[in-house]
Amino acid sequence: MLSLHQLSKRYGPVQALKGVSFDVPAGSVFGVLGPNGSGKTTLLGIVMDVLKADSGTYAWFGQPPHHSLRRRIGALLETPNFYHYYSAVRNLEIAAAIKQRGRDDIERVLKICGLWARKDSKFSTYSLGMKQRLAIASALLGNPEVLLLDEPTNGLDPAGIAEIRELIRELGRQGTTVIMASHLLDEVEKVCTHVAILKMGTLLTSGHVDEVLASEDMIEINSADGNKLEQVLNAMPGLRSLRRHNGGFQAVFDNGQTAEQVNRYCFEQGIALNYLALRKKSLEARFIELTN
Amino acid sequence: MTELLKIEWLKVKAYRTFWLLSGLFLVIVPLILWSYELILKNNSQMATFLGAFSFPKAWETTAWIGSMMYPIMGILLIIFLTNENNFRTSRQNIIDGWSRDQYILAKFGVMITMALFMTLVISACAVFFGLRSGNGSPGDGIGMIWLIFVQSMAYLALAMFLGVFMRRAGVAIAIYVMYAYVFEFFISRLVDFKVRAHLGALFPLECTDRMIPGETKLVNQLASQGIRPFEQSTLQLIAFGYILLFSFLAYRRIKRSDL
Repeated sequence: MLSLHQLSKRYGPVQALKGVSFDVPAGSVFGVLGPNGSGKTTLLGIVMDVLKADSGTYAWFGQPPHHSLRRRIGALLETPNFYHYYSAVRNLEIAAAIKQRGRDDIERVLKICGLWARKDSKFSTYSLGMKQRLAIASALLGNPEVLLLDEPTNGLDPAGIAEIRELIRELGRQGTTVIMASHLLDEVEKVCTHVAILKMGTLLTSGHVDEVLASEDMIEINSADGNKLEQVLNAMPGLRSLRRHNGGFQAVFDNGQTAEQVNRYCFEQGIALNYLALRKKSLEARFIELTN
Repeated sequence: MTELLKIEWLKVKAYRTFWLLSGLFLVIVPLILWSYELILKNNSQMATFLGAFSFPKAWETTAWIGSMMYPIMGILLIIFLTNENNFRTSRQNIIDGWSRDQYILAKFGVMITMALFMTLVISACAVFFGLRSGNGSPGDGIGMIWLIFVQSMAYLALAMFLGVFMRRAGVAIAIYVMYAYVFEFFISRLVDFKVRAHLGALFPLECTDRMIPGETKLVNQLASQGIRPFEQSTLQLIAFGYILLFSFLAYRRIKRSDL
């Protein structure tokens, strides 16, 4: 659906993107993940032709960039951009005219985004969340084949965040390709099927979300005799790391030992455990590990 | 092009500032001409001497007086363009599916439409006030319509340049108004008197002001020091040069820059 090849962009002394390449499969919900300033918005700006790449190429729908292809994409980039002196409806009429779509879809998208009741209010009177909703409504105009959303839940209240996430999931189920930039791991994990991770303009990894953000299990253990437990665990085959934590130990194994196997091993070595718990390594920890 | 202009029309058709400034231009041009006519009526000797509203001179008088109000339309164009920058709607128009060329073409379309509107208002006033004077026929000196259009384009091209390059409407408008009403007048006269007579016509708006000098002809003659002024065709070429230069710079800026 979208292919990037060696995209680079520099802002004065800052290298915002360094030879980034990846492909977005059709029908995927693709998250572009990275900390602030990692180049996510620059990347999306380039593929929507509002920023000029210094080098590299990209292709939408397997074709070289052309403005007519952008009409097949609904995009919210960085901030909601509308004529402040106009209402939601008038603003969407302009967007629909540029996209060469009829006005008949305006009511539907405003209802989806919960703005129908305020359709005639001036954009300048909207709250941040309402502005964001209008930007999403504009992106949805005419049922585009691809949705490109940069931090789509910015400024939304918790209910709004849940609604938009559900909307994105639903669109994904219906076959719309969604490309979403976010620094919210939780958002990406909950919504995306694929992910690319950027750090300081460099692509760290990309692929299916389960592979990229695969979280490792960690086992927390304790017993009355801590020193002996430490000796036994250190001798256990497959141990990758062991560290003291809250008076007990946290152990990570290479070969995916289960808590049951650890319990049995310790018992066989003469240790009776008084605490055993399986902990998922947090996605956040995984992200920090990847980006540091 | 029609499609692009239709979309530009959507952007302004319910915009109060658009109606306010266009309406102001539409009203103030005949009003200021009426005042001038009243002044002349109160001084019949001067009126006879100038013959200001007799055709063909009615065209020049109207264009000369009316041109003093061109900055109103220039300000409107600056507001259109800086709005697009400030609201980042120029960026959104591209995201929604316009090419940069289409965006630029739409803005040039707006500029030409505004110039046509200004030409129409001035021409209608020339016919009206000329017919009121009862001397000559509107067909005499009708070629002045072209010069009115060129002058309108020159004022708007400068506004286009400032509107594209400046982000803040207030600063752009202040520079535009100061330049159009004060700075260029003084600097061009300074060049006339201190460097060489008539070289003041090389400035972007002054070249068109000297195409349609009105009663400033007398000042120009005083400054001439026996040197021949530029031909009408040369002044037009200078004006075209500036219109093309400002348009090209605006085009290049939009075409190349990050939005």
